[in-house]
Amino acid sequence: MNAQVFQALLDGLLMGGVYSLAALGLTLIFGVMKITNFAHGAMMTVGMYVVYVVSTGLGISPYIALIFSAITLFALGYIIQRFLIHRISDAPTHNQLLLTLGVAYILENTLLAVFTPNYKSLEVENLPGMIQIGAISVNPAKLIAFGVVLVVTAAIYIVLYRTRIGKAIRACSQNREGAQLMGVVIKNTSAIAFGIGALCTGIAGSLLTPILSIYPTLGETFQLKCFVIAILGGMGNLWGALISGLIVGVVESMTGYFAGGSWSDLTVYAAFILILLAKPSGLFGRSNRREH
Amino acid sequence: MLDIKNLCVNYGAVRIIDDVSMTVGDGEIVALIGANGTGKTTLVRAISKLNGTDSGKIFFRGEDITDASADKVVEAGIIQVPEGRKLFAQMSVRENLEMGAFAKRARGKEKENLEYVYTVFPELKSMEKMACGNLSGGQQQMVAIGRSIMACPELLILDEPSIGLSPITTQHMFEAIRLINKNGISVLITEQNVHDVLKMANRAYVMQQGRIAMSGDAKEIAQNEELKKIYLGL
Ligand SMILES: Nc1ncnc2c1ncn2[C@@H]1O[C@H](COP(=O)(O)OP(=O)(O)OP(=O)(O)O)[C@@H](O)[C@H]1O
Ligand SMILES: [Mg+2]
Repeated sequence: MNAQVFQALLDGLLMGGVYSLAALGLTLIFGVMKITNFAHGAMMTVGMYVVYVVSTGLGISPYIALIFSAITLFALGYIIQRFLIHRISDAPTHNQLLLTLGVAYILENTLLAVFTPNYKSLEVENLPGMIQIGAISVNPAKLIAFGVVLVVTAAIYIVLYRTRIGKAIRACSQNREGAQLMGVVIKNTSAIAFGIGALCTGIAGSLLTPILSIYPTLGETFQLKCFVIAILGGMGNLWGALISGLIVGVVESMTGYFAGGSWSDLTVYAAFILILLAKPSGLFGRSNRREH
Repeated sequence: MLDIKNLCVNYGAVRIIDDVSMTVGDGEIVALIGANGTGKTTLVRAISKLNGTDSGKIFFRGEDITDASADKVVEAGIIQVPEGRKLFAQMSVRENLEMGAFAKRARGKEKENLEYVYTVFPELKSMEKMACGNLSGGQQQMVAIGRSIMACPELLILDEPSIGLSPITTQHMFEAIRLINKNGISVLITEQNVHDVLKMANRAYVMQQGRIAMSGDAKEIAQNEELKKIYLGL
């Protein structure tokens, strides 16, 4: 294979992995709550700032600060679902959507007030520069990010498929009333599912912090990207989100290499629209609607 | 064991369940029959707390469960096989059955209950790994009833278990319900298949537009001339 193509492919897959994790969170939340979390991008930014603050404040590696970020985001997601969204769970879906949008603006503006709109970037000590393998060069931060994504994704799968609470979450997303009739407490299960979804996006954000400069509205681009990925994968379909994230990463990177970075987003969204026209339920979509 | 007193349920301004009182005794099979849209599903959903109620009371073993949450009703021992079955379509038969044992009351008894389910429905054993979404209606109904047995019911509520099933599969399902009842589980069953359910039930309630129009011994109700005209087409 042409070295340049391979380079683009590799870069795309590594970044795509991070997108996959964030989108996994979005699609998981949709699966259980049947709402799109419009605060997903803002939550990702919160995750980034937690890593930034903990890492610079305590002088520790962002990869350890990531644990703080994961815990904070789980708690944030849990609280948002349990004490806000759950309260209006009988309201029409669009009101619940607007609630998550409101949360997004509150989070973003809080970050703005506390951290100012200035860019912040994190230097990671002891991390080598680019790793050169023949004609291919790899950013070690992206390599680590991909490794962490693999571990976290595997852990989430174990939780969802092997634990009681995980099975309850999957049961709720496949048939909420069926789950209720078996004694599943929707209130708690939803809050934990939302917490896990938020944790996914928080970890994804944390992994990007050594790679990108951060600012309070950075999450907005990722919000849209996660949404596109989750829809391509079929909303609520976990495997679909993972694979679509990689695809979007590769398309973005290929376009960047061969047509220039300003074409990346255009290509991704154009491909998105074309795919939806051909397959309205997404690449891996099955009708995953709640049965009544 | 189940004691419903003057229950009313409204959807918006429309009264769907109107002053309904009924009981299910220990070990009984009670049939709730009535035409399309008379409110049978609304009533059993209210018992399982999938619907709210507007007035009246529901007691189970003397305890007021009118305002209990759905999971508390399950933990008390009222388990429902709902209309439309509400299975977990992407989970396997085995996983669906395991979800039946989710309630605390059933956790320790998962193994023996699973064996019991396989004695009631031996055909489920060979389908263990299949996704429920791919099963036929009759097979899905077996999984739904099996899943409810896994929860250790004291009162089993079945909402039109024969809907969409062939006469032979319906007979099979009714056999299974009889067997479950013989093992000491009380049954409340709604049906439009009036003829068969009245043969199986001890007592019956006939519902008309949200009210109990008639009630009594199932055999007597089956002989009632007016009812025969309406429901049996005789
Ligand atoms: N969610 C709802 N909102 C408003 N009205 C409803 C709703 N669900 C049911 N109804 C109405 O309540 C009435 C009773 O419906 P229900 O489903 O309880 O009847 P049923 O006896 O179970 O009928 P079937 O034999 O068709 O299952 C019907 O007139 C129906 O149109
Ligand atoms: Mg009904």
